[in-house]
Amino acid sequence: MRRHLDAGLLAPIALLALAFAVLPATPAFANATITIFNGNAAGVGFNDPTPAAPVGGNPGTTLGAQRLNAFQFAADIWGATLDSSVPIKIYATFEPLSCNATSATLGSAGTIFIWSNIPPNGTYPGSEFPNTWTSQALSAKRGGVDILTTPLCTNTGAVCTTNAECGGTAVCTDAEIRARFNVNLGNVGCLTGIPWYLGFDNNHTANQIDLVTVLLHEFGHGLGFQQFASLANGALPGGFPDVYNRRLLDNGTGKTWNIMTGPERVASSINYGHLVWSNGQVNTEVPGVLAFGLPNLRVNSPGSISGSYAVGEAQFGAPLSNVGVSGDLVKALDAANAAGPTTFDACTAITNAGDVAGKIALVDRGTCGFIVKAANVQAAGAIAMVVADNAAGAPPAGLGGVDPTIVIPSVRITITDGNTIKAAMASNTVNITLARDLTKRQGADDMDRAQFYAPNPVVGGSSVSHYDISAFPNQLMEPNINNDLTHNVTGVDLTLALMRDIGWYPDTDVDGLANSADNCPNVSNPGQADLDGDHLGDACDPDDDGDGVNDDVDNCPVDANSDQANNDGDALGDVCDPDDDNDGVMDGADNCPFTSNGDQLDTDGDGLGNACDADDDGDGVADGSDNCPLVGNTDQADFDRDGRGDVCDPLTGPPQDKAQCMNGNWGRFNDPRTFPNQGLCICYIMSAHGEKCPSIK
Amino acid sequence: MTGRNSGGVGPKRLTGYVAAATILAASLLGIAWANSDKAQDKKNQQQAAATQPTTGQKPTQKATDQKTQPVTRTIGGATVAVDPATGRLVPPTPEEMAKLTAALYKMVSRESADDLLIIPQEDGSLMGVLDDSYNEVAMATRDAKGNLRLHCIDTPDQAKRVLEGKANVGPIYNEKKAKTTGKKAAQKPGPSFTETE
Repeated sequence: MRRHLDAGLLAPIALLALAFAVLPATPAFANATITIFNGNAAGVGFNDPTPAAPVGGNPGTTLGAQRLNAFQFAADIWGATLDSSVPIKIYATFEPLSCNATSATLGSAGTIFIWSNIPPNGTYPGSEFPNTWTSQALSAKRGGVDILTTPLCTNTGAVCTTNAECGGTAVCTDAEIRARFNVNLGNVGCLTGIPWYLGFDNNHTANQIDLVTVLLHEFGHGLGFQQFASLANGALPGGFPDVYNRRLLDNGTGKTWNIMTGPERVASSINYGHLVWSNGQVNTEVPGVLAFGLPNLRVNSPGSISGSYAVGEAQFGAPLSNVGVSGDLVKALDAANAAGPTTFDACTAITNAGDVAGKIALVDRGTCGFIVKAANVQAAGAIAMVVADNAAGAPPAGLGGVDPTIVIPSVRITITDGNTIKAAMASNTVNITLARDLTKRQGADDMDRAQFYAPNPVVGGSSVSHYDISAFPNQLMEPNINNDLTHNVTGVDLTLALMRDIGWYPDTDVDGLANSADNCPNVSNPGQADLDGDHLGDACDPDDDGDGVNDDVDNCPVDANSDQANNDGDALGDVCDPDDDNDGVMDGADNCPFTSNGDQLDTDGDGLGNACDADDDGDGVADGSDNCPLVGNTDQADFDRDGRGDVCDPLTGPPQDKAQCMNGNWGRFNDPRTFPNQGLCICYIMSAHGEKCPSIK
Repeated sequence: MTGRNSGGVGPKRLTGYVAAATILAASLLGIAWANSDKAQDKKNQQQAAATQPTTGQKPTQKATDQKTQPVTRTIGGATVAVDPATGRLVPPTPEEMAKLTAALYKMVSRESADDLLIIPQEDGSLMGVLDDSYNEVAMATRDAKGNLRLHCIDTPDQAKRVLEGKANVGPIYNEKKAKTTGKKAAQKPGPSFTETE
């Protein structure tokens, strides 16, 4: 079965290493268990025996152990954040990856398979949308079952038992995510001198790269923060969109990616500033996460072009302030010479300083550095500089360079915006303000929808599967891994919100039911039993029967009995006690359920045991006044008037013969002998013999 | 028997041959580095000894016998060279590195999604087999001033720009942290992408 680690899966030399390679499950409080499967052979990668001193909370004492610990640390952070009843496995290796002295592939990660149409399974909902791809880990969560029943080749999906069966770099695994990281990082020729920092505390130096941070980012992709459409032709894998596509909205066309044509998706992927999240938790959290203050150029006049224009900020000079700097825009002219072939490149001293002084200078990008241009326009008296790009692309990149003598603010605008403004300047005075727009959030559109990275052309980082680089505070899932990221995927960050929106619904007790629909979100109760109907499931309801008495002191916790009546004084209240009188006869069969009568005596057979029958003999005379309570004697005859009815009095009349009357031999009569006088006795006897009874008194 | 249901449903190619492409990429990595000549081997060992990462671990164990030939090991399906004396990887030769770079480009070369291998399952679900081109790749670059920048990329062009040092734009990773924990800063710290001219 799939849990079996086949000995043939790896070379024998690696088996010893594998014996301790798979780390224990995530901490007790984790809501998803993410484990790292060490795919390295003995002696290398995660199994590198090079001694190492514990660093930054990483207790490993070998290089390999520290690497594995860092992986598990990052996995645990995600595991404590997402909820899944299905363990998530990451097949990981440290191996040589492409690099040179000044650049390196750090690592990669991604889901191994994608799935669609996962069927519901009990309380587990299955796929949220039909014919829609989701990552393997997310698919397993929603299906409530380990989705692979056996290891498969990562390249063919064929059942396998060893990596060798798969060929090439493919592996045989039942893991959900594949991760490769660079084993040579920091060595000569591989981003020389910049190794991994393996501590848990993010306390890396300027010459180290924090592995945990990179892992958190890449694991995020592997868990589902990724779209799968081709950015080359817009094609969808197998013709299906993924769940991420369903939320990607082009606010220019109003279409989400799942309903676009391929060419439309390609166009949208470079429609900078217009690719946003359509709805859901991400946008709900935007106001609490993204800060106001988007840097921009605002055209105040003329009205024909008034509005906001995106800018790239400068590393030098004064940063844009909230108030900003306002003024008329003037083209700064300089000589067309070897330093700069046009009169607008500001590569040499400005020739129209009189026009520029006190104004905002507009110059073209090109030929010389931005700090050269800034220095020249500043010398001419400009109060700020706007550089119009000379190549198509968006967003406008920043202006790099260092020159502490430059004090004026500078920005760059796109070539398109530059041409628009220049055209207006031909016949109008253009007045602008360079400032931070305190009405716009950094990383969101005008409707506070989170923006996604859609540069045109593609520049530094990955497109679409990241938040926009303008987001502030910096987000874990921006294309650039920023140095101010913490080891968190929650907090002032929209990463978890997106995970929620693509289907990682919160399910703290991992019983398959979303917390919002679970009557016990913190206690697994797939059945959702709720005895008292108070919308608090019995599994977590302190008073299951809703009788006002908490279960821990309730003598009938699942039967409402606010009076706590308990006839026999045992531990069970009467409403839930099967033998209320504790006489050993269950109430259902007990003719006196509340009166102990183990003998179940029922003289009159009326169904009520004598112990609880007011008229045991059923003669209509209540026991309390019946002179024979156990023998029916409706007439209550009591010849000898001793209080015991004749039918139950062995020593009573009538006399059997005259002698008993005549000679006073009344031995068989009880004391007191209060029956009527002798005459009656005689009369009785005579009557018994058919004789006429004389009148005797 | 396929993964989900052990039901014997065989793989079904809709279009293309993803597996073939993957195997091709694998072959680039799966080289026998044991063929490196002694001179290169010596150079590599010297490099390894000189550039032990400063990740908190103690210095590398002593250099191996220069005459010791690397042995091959399998890492993640790829065959790599390992110094038998130290047990550590032998740094790739330039030729080997070129092949690794080719593998990187392949890893981010998802030109189309049309050829996804899809395997139907008995329960009605579908499994799509992603090749390496669907990976997101993290890369780092350092400019002449020592500024580090980290990028997450997914196209060959991006990878090429990084490897050729043309991606020295964006936030600097190893500059003083732009904000501190606690009180949130008011604005994005500096330009996200910068060019000097």
